[in-house]
Amino acid sequence: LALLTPERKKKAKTYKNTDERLRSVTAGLLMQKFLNITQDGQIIYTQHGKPFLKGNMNYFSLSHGGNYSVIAVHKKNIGIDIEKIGYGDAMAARLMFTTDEKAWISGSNTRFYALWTQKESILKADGRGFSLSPNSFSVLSGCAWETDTFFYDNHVITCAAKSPFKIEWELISAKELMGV
Amino acid sequence: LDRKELEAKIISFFATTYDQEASALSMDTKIKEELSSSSMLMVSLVSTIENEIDVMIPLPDAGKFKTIGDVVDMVEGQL
Repeated sequence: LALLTPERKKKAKTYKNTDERLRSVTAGLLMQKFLNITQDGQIIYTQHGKPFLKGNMNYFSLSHGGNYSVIAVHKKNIGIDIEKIGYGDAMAARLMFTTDEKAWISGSNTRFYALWTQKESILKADGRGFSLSPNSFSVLSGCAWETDTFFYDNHVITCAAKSPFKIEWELISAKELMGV
Repeated sequence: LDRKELEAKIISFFATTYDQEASALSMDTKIKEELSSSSMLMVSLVSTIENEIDVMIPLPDAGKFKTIGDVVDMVEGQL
């Protein structure tokens, strides 16, 4: 915790759930390593909570799920989402997906989670989050966003941006992040 | 549904969705800090409430709930 900015430290301490606390700490360390965030004032938030770097041309997005935290950094607006693949939640699907998306999923957990990360990364890149109704658009046809998805260790990760791109990624251990 | 019945119902939804013992949950339980900040679980919970007791919670509002009691207050206001 000593490595974090005061605001991030305060936020991490509010989590009583150990996994959530670890993810919050990791997010802070990722921002330090890849964005050189050492003070709270370096990040500003929109009314919907989308973070931006103050005085820096790069965009970024954070997510965590399962055993990993991820950060995406890009010269253009971007959103990222990661999920650990489990059983597709039918109740969540009702509000998240369009009819054609639900048909495409067709009972496949892998497709469910891939599509979920595609939609959530778009909501995050757009900046309105869930104020943009997730089942008001389909990622399968006529979508204004480009996405790139990959799988790692039973997790699925997607980035979304307005123009075509290809994810280049690297894996970093918690020890490396802490400089141990 | 009176307030007590509604509280019990919402707690049962939280217990199922967040895979918790209902007895460990209360109106003061902080959702993100004590349970999970997963958006998938929150969307699932909102969908369950809509399906089971026919009360619609806008997804942007769902993200603002701090405690289980906040969810009960909103649902009660719409019954």
